[in-house]
Amino acid sequence: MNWNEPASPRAADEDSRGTSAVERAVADFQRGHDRERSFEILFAFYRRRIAGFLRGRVHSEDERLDLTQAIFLRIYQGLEGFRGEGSLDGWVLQIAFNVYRRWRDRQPGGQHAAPEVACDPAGLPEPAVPAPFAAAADSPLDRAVRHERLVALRVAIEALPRQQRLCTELRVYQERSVKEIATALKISPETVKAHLFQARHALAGCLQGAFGALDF
Amino acid sequence: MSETSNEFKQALSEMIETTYPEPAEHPKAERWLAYQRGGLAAEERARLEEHLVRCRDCFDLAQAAADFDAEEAASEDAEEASVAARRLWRLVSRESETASAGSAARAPRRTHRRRNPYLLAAVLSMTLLGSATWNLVEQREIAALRAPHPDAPIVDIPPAGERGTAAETTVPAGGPWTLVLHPRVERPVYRLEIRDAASGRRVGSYALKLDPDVALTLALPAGLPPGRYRLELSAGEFRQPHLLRVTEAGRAG
Repeated sequence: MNWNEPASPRAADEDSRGTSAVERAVADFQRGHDRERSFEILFAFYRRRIAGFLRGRVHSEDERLDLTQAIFLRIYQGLEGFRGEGSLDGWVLQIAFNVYRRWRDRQPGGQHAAPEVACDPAGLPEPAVPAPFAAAADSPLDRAVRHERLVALRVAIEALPRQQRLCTELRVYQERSVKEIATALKISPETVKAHLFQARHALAGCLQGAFGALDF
Repeated sequence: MSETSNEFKQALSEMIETTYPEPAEHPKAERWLAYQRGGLAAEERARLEEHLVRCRDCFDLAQAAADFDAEEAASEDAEEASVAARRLWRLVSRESETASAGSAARAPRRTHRRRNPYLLAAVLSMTLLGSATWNLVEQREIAALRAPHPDAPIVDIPPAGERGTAAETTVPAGGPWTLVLHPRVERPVYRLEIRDAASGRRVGSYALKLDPDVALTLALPAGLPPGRYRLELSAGEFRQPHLLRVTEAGRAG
């Protein structure tokens, strides 16, 4: 599946509206004509949008400043090679997101964060290991029962109306907040709550308590 | 979600991961922008939504696209934006030239001359975000003291209790430590003084800046000798005392 075919003409028209000055600035920059002025136009056009993107994700103003600079530095370095195969907005957003993601993964708890060691390991309780749904020592009967329950769960989930299913999966599997789900699916938070409420009731009826209380 | 629904979560996770294979390709930022702007056919929109369930990175990128697009057109001071842009231009063009030149003889990273780009960044921060001025000397001091040793135990100093009372924490002697302090009130820069509780003699004095998670971090490579210490965290009129008792090594008190 090729996700990245050109967007529909309606979207292309909307993208180009209001950005002709920016596109001219990019062309001038690539030709080497008054690069400083061209960069100024790009900066003025994108800085608030980049600030908006970072504001909800990076709490420290100083970190936001550093990241903003890093993003514009990457834009400056890559602009000459930008061939316009996609939109400029998309290219800038991808740069901003990549810079942010690298920073995020280095923070405590991130993928590339330095590990922390407890002050007094001997005094801490053993971490509670959640019982795996698929235990290694299951008997054939256990495996058969688990398989049936999974089938029942799949049938119940797939029977949900589409939006209820998406909301449930994002809420439970990805542990996303109501607000995040609302933004992602472009619906209101109240609608998300309503979908989750209805999904809980529908699943409770189908699964008959097979998985305990459904609290999501 | 409560603990009682862990079983459901585990079952649903297994169902999703076995039913929907992990995507091999991912829509780029532009696609998510088009999705947010309503510029996709219904069928493609539905495919992207299904993709969101299975891919956390794409979910984050879709959210990023929404926030990126949400910022309204600026009604800002054009002159201010122009000044900020020219300063940033000098910074990024200099940084880019330095990187492409591939200079083998690098200047020391923390000299005043090398700090000039960061001074521009400090001015830029006032222009861009209207934040407080950045103290360059303290920035260097803060960066050095915040750098933790890889295996240093974390000594967590909780927020202050009732006004005028100092809570106490007990730790065994021997460093290195990483002190993590949680002040009640935010300030740009804090000063931490460690004094011997009995004699009042000052053992150490440090300037600290808040972590993004609203905590102050201080690395003490040698820890502190056994004894009782009074930690006084201050910034302006803000004061937060805490008592730290260090026992002989191997004894937790």
